[in-house]
Amino acid sequence: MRCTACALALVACSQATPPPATSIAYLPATAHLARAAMALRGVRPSLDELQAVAADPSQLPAIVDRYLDSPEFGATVRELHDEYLLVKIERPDYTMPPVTPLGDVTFHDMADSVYDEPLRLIEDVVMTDQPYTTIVTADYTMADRNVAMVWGMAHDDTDAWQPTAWPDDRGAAGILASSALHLRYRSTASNFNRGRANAVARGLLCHDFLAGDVRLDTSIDLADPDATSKALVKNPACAACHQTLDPLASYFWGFEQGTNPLGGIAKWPFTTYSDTTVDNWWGTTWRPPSYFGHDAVGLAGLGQAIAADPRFARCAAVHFAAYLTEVAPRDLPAPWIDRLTADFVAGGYRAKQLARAIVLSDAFRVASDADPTGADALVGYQKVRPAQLRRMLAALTGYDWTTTSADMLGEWRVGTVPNLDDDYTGFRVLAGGIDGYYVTAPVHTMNATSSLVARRAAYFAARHVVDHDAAVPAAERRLFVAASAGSADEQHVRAELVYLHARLYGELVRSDDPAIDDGYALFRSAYAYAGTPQRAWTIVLAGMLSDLRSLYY
Amino acid sequence: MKRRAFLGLCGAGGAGVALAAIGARRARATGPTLRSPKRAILVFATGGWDTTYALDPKTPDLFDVPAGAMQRFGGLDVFVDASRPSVTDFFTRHGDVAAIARGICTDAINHNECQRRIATGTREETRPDFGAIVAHDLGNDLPIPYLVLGQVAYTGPYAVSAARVGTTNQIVELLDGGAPDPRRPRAVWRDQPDDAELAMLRDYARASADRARATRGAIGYNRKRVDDFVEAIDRGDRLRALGGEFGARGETVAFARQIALALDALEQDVSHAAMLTTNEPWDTHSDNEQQGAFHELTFNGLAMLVDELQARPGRAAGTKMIDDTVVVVFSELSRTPRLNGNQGKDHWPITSALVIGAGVRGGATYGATTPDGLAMTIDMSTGAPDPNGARVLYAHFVAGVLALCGVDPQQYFPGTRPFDAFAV
Repeated sequence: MRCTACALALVACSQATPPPATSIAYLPATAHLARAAMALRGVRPSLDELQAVAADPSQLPAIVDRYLDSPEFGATVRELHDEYLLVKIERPDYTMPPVTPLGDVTFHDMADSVYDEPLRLIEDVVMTDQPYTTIVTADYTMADRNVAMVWGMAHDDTDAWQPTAWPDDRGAAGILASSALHLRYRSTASNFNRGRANAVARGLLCHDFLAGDVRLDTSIDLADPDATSKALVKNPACAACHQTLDPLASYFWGFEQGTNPLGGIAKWPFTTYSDTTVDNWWGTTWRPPSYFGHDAVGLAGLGQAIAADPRFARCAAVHFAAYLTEVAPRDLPAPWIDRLTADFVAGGYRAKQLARAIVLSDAFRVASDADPTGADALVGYQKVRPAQLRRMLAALTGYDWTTTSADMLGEWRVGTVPNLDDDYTGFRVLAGGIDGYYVTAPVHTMNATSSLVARRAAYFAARHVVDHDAAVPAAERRLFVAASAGSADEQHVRAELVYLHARLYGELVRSDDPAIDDGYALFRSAYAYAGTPQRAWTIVLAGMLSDLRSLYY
Repeated sequence: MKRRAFLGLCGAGGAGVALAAIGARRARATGPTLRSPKRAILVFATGGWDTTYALDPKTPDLFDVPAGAMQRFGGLDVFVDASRPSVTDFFTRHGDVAAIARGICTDAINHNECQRRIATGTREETRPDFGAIVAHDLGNDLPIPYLVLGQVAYTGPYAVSAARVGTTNQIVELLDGGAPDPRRPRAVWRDQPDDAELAMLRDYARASADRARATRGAIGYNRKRVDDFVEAIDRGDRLRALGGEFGARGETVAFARQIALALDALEQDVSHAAMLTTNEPWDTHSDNEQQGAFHELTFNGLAMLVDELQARPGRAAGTKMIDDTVVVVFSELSRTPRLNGNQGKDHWPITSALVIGAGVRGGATYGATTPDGLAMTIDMSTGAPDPNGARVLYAHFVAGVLALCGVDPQQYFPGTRPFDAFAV
C-alpha cells in the first residue's frame, strides 16, 4: 500500500510545481463536482450546478463553498469524526434505559441522541466557523430533548439540537468533557481510565499507545497492585508508555468507572461525573494529571494542551483527507498532509477551509492511472457510504428507507429505524458501514450484502418516486422533469434518461449517447414485459440508482 | 441450506461446473510444497479466555487456578473438572483429532489490537484474517466464500468474497424466501423485481460495468472496484437463492446456531470458510470463575461441531467433512496468572489455540509456556521447546494455519517461518 502514498505524493507535489508528465488522469470538471458533492454532502449535484461547471469550470470553488455551508456537510462532519472517534454504538448495555419521561423513546433514537452529543458539538464548531481547536476547549455542548433530559441540561424541549452546558463545573474542554464519550469508553477497576486516554490520543492526536508491542517483564508480580503500580513508574519496560499514558488518564477520574454504569437508572438526570473523584489518581496510579510531560490543569487545561499540540492539527488533516479521499491514513502522502496542516493552522484552524483545500486538490480529483503499478494504488473510485446512500436517495427521490415495528427490544420500543443508518436493526454494517464497536472501518467496495442492500433500497426509492411523480402536478415532480412517468415514446423516454443521467450520475450526455441507449434498452425490455410505463420506469430507476455510477463516485 | 437448494441454484450443469471448479482449485492449490486444500471454520472466543481452565494447565504456586486437575488424553494434557464435563467429553471423544498450540504471543494487551493480530497475523487494519485468505484462495468460486457469522472478522481486500449476517441476523431480511419473524410481517418487503426484471437489471449493470472497464476502470484499483461491483451482484443473487436457511431474526446468533449454519454452508459448497464467535463474555476482569461456565458451553458446542464434521459427507467419495475441514478455536488474549481485587483476571498477551480436523497431528500439544505463563522458545517445525528456537508470534501461528489449510504462507508472510508443527 505504500505505492498509494507514492502515487498521491506525485499528485500532491504537482500542486506546488508545474505538473510533471505523469500517467495520471484527472476527473473532468463535472465529475469533479459530482465527487465533491458526494464526499462533502452525500448528495448529488443539481442540474444547474452541473451546467454551470460544464460551462465554466472556475465556478466549482464557489459551489463547493455552498456545499460547505449546507446541513448535509454538517452530517458529514459528524460521520467523519465518528469513523475515528468510534463513539456511536448501538448496544443494549450501552444505551440509556427508557425511563420516564423518556419512556417512549426508541432504542435507536436513544442511542443515536446520547452518542451524537460530542459529534454535534464538533459539527457546531465546524459549521459556525469557529477554530477547530474549540472541539476540545468549548465551554458548551449540544443537546436535543433526550440528551438534555438524560444529563440535566437546559433546553427548550423542542426536537432541535441546541447549545447548552453541562450542569456542573467539569471545565471548558469540548468533547473531552462529554459524558457520552466516557460512557462509550468505559474504564474498569484496574484500567484506571487508560482506555479513555488512549481513545483520546488515538482520535485526536493520531497517537495510539496500543499499536506498539508489549513485552512482559516477569520480574513484576502483577497480582500485587503495589508492585504493579511501582513498576509502571520505575520499570523501563512499563514506563515507556505508562509515563505518558497514566498522567493523561488521570484527567478523567471525574468520570464514573465501571463496566455497567447504566444499571439501575430509575430517574433523570443521570450523571457520570463527580468533582469529588477527580483526584482519585492519588491512591491508584499515583500519577498526577500531566500532558506528555507538560503541566495542564484540569479538563480545561487538557483541552488547551491538546489544542496547542502540533499533532492535533496534523491528525485533523489526516482524518479529513482520509475520509474525503477514501485513502487509508497511513497511505496519505506526508508532503500533502504537511501542507494541508500548515495551511490549516495558518488559516486559524477553519475546518471548512481544510475540507475545501482537500476537495479542490489534484489529489482529490484523480481518476485513473495508465501505469499499471500506479493504477493498483490509485483510488479512482470512491464508494458511497451507507449514510451517504441514505441522503442521496432521499434527496433524489424523497424516499427514506425505514422499518417500523411495534415490537420491544428489551425495555425499548423498536419503533421506526432508518435502515441505512442503524446497525442493530438496520443494515449499516451489511452495507459496508461501521458499528463503532466490532466493525471499526468501512468497506470501500461492494460485496454480496452491500449489493443486496443497495439494490433493495434503490428499488424502493424508485417505486416511491415513480408513484409520487405520477400523482402530483408537473411542477412538484422530483425526477420526472423531461417526461412524465407515464411516458413511453422514445423521444420522451430518451429525454428523461438524459435528465436522469445528469441528476443521478452527474453526466451530461446527449440523447443518442451509448449510455442512453443502455437505459432505453432497459426501458423497452421492462415495458414489453410489464406492460405499463410506470413499472418500466420503476425498473429503469432501480437500475440507475443501484448502478456503479450511483454507488461509486 | 439443503443440497437441493444448491443444485437448484446452479442447475445440474451448474453443479457440474461447480464441482469441476473445485477440482481445478484443488489442482491449482496442490503443488509439491503445499498441503492439500482444506475448508476452515474459525471459532473466535473474543474477550480473552483463561487458558488455565483447559488448554494450558498451571499450578497454584504461580497461578490462581480453578478447581480441577490436569488429565491426559493421549498426548494432550488438559485441565478438567467435574463442573466442566463438556471439556472432558470433548477431549475424550475428539482428542485424537485435536492439537493444542501453546505460547502464542500477541504482544499487546488491548482487545482490538490483539484480535487483529491473532486473526490476521499482522498489525495492519487492512489485511485479511486467515479465514478470508483461505476462503479467497481456495474457494472464491463459491457464492459466499467467507461467511461471517460472528462479530469480529477482517476481510481486507477480500471484502467482496465475504458476507456478514449482522448483529441480529439482519441478513434474513434481505433474502427472498427468508424466514420472516412472525411478529414482524413485512408484506411490503416482498414487493420487488421478479426474476425476469432482475435479469434485465443485471444486464444493465453489466453493460455499465463494461463501459467503465473500457475507460476509467480498465486496470488496477479501479478495475477491481468495477469487478467487485459485478461480482457482488452475482454473489448477492446466489445468496438470495438460499432463502430462509439463515433462520429468523434474533438478538444474537447463538453459538449452536452459528455452528449449524457454518456446517450447512460448507457442506453445500455455499462457503469455503466461516467465522464464528462463541458469544460468551470472556473478558472477566471481575468474577473470573465465570470462565468455567464459558468453557463448558464452548466445548459443548465444539463437541457438537466435530460430531457433525465426522458424520457429514466430505468432498471426496467415501470421506467425511472432518477429512477436509480444519477448525481453529482461538482467543486474542489469556488472563493474568493471579486474581485481581475483584476476583477477576486482567489481560495476558500469551494465549493458546485449539486446532482440529483435517491434516492435524492430533492428540498432542505444540509450543509451550513456562510455569509462570510466559512463552517458551520452540522449534517451529516440531513445536518442542528449544533454547535456540523462537517465540511463537501471531504471524507464525497464522502462517502455520494457512500452511495447514493448503495456502502458501509465503504469499502473505514472506520470510516468516510458519508455526505448522501441528500439521501433518
